[in-house]
Amino acid sequence: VNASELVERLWRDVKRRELVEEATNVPALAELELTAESGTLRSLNLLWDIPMPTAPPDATTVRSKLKRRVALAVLDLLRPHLEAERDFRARSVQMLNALAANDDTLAREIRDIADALRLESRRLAERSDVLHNLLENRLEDLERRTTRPT
Amino acid sequence: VTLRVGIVSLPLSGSWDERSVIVRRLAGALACAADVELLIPGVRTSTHRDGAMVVREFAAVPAQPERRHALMELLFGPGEARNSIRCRCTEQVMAGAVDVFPRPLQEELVNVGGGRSPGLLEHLLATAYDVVVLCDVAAASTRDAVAVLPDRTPVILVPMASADPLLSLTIHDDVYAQTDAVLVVTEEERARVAGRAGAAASAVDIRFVLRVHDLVWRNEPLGYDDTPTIVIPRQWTPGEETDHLAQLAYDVQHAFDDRVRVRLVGPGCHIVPGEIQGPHAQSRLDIWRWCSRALAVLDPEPAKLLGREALESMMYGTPIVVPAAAGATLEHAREGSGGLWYRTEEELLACLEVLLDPSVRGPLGDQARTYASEHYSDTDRFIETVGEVLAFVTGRDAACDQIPSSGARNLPV
Repeated sequence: VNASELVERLWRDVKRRELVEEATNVPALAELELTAESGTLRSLNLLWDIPMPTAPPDATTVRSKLKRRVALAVLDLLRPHLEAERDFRARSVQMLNALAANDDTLAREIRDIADALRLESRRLAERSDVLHNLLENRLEDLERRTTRPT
Repeated sequence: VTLRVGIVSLPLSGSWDERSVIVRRLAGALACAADVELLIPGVRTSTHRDGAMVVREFAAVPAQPERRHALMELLFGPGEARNSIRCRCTEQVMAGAVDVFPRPLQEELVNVGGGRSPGLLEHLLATAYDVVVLCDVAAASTRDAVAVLPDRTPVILVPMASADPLLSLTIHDDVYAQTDAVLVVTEEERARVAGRAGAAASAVDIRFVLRVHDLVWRNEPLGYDDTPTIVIPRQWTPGEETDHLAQLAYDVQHAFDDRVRVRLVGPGCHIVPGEIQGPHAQSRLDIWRWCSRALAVLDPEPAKLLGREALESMMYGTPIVVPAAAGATLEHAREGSGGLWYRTEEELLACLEVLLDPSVRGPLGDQARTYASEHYSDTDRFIETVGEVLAFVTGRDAACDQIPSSGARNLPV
């Protein structure tokens, strides 16, 4: 094995592969950053809940009893709104989680397609080289046959 | 009468420092024909015997790494540009730039490396050495020794000319001009010194002598299985070089998935995080165990003086993969046809991919073994070449009226 010739061939192959990749025009995609692992989404998943306020505990004094009754009245008034708000926020975060998962899947699929496209282009180029060489050999063979003295 | 040879060298360190290994081997070869004294600018004055030679240490001015760093930053800009492990693209520009530095600045750049020792110079003046060998052209001790040595004392220079742009300082021309012979260990190094005053005609490629041991075949290295492994051997220290090599190793590992394993081996490799970390192997025998079984040994450092790890791997029949911008290691890969080289990471991956094919790897490994064994393991020839140089500079051998030609590939004088 002649190392210099081998290195020359390897460098040529690498260069040709780069040219093929350039010719396929598949854009270089940015490094994949998963939306599901985003810090903002993680915060939303922790902070979406609204803790429901509770009335002060029952007591013996008139003042405390009055205070508790007022608190219960206000709570009864606000509870449906707070529950509706909590429900809305929970659904919103669920939706965001689902969208993030879909987004990540899509990003992975796009990169898989780009990789497959590059690989396929390289294989096509290699196949084309093989066919080209076969054709060259065939032509040489035909030329030899046609120039053979009769 | 036995010759008396003094070798002036910077302090020697462990087996991972190629300069130290070269000095030790050279001293050993010289000791076959002469009484050898190793003169080292060190911490304190002392004398002891190390095998066949006497080691004399003299108190010297220590190196000033911070000052050197500041000077380099001032002259050449941010350190990133001088990081030789990534590329050597700035080397030529820097080498061209140092030519115009004023002489005091050049002297300062040499002196901050430390090694100036009045005691060593007094000893050189007082002792009648038949030959003085000066190791490392860029060392302050080399410059000082050349200045004080009497004209009649023959001087052999071992320049250890690596890719350091500071070796292009014109101040070193004084050293080259006053030497009788220049010893280099690779053709790449010979090309480096060829343009210097007086060095072109007298540079002798003494090659080198390296030995490996068959003992490595008896036991497998710790943590090794039969998965094809790419090994990067070196001494690992925290810093940007290690980070860069680790990233490269991860990229290669990622590209090959489970088909190939990348392992960083050598002392200190525990600082490399993750799966590519090899076992904490201290001895060269452990490193040889890995290199001998590797699919290939990757040596991404472009500025090696000798490429010892690459050569030792080649002796075990393991192909090497090196950067196309490398010096010594590229010479080994190309001349011996025992390895491949690359310019980009894609080409590196292509080189490693083709080595997975046994019909390529086998012959390359055989060629690597043949090259390394023929050129770098002949102890007799190494000693003979060094002895001939000694005879030439001292004029003791009447038949030896020119630079010896028994070296591996000496240029015509």
